[in-house]
Amino acid sequence: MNWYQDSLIDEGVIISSRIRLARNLKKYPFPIKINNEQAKVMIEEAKGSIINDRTVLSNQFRFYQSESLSQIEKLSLLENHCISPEFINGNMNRGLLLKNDESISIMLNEEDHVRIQTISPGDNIDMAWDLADKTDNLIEEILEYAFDQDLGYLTSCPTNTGTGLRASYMVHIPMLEKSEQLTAIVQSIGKFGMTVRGIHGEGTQPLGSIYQISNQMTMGKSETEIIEVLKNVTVQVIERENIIRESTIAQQKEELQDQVYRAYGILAHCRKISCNEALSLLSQLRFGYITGLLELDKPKTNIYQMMMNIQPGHIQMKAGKNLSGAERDRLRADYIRGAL
Amino acid sequence: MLCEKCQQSPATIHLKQNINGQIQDLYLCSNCAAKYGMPYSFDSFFKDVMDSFLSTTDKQPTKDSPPDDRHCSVCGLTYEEFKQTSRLGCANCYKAFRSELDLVLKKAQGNNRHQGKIPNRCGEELLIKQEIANLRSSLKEAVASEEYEEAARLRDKIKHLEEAGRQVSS
Repeated sequence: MNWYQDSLIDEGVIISSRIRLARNLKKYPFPIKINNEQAKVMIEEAKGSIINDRTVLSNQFRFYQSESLSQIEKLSLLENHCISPEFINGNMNRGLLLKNDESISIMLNEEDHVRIQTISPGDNIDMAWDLADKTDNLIEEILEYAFDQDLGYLTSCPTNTGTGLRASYMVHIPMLEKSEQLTAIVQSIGKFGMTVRGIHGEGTQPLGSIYQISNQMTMGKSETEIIEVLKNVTVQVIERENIIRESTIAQQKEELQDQVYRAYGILAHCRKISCNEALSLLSQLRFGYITGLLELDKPKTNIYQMMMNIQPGHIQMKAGKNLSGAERDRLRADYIRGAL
Repeated sequence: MLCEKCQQSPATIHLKQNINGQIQDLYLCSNCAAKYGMPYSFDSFFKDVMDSFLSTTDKQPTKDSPPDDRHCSVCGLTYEEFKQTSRLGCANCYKAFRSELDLVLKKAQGNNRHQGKIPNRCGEELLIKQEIANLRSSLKEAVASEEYEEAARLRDKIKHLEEAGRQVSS
């Protein structure tokens, strides 16, 4: 079962927990200086550290060369959080090692030689860390990392040097977003070396009221210390979101209920719908189900999974071809009606 | 979501334009955003931070001083390239530009000393060193809270590890 098929992703404010580790191999230049020949060899070596005769994990992984993936496939992988925008936008050859259940995804030759990412459903960051730590050790059995006694793991960008760790929670905070308290929150958690940003990493407009809370500092604390601080900060954010939910429901129950039922109504009947509108309405649905305001049967597919399935890469993958915006909008509506 | 201009790459930048009071939202990929003169992203932000730190440490160029041609002897990355991109070219770059990096790391990260995981390959010596450091800080805490039995236990453990460390390095 993939992480997004687990019902845990729809139970509370936290949708998923993610750990990312950035590593470079000692004997090759980093991605901005590595040439094509070296990159090919490096990718083969890294691939061999996971896919080989020695490990049990080996036959649970698939390897993809970035050139062999179509634009639609790459988009779809991005929407599932398996790869980053950098993976798609770069010119150099890259590789991807993906576990069948998508809980582990290893990008090769992206911003760093090896970027390990693990995702767990719901509030499960310790599990994600354990998985990432083990994967890291497995790779290191074969390959030697660039590491300095004082500076830690040597990464391409100094923002990642040290632990090379980006620990994050993906959270659904519609009430906090509406209340305009987010700027204040961003400032206050900044003091703990944490930050909040939109769903697809840096510099994007949050869609569907989904944000990512993550650490910014990667040096000076151990990995478990960083994760502890992240947990504490996130607990505060969740508390605030829940407090606003409770008080708003107490004061404006009818208004809120009308909103979520209208959202359901549009989604259940529309004939075409844009990605942005669908995400916004699905966000209402998720909010409605979790707070109990929406008293209809839940769809079989998790709401957050629907929020990934309606995105352009997924829609085109399902259709098996490139589609215009209008065609996507129609198919999106068809899919949603079917799912509800 | 896809970039509104090229409809090809994923949108990673949200541009809000105010033209005569009309607010326009544009969602663009980094290439298209650059055409708007707006390469703003977290990377750019960090680059700006790096620029301001590095420019305060760089010596002011005079008419007679040579241009800064520092570079990494292994990958060839120049100091200028590093300043431009905020990216390093290889492990040796960390040695080549160590003094600047120390400063930048201290300011941007609040610390320039790694306290986390050590790769298994780096061997026992480093792991022992880190374990001793951890025990020393626990010892300090034990003494501060007057748990002298615990402190004695920790002190013995440290002695034992220091001996083990000496054996490993010899």
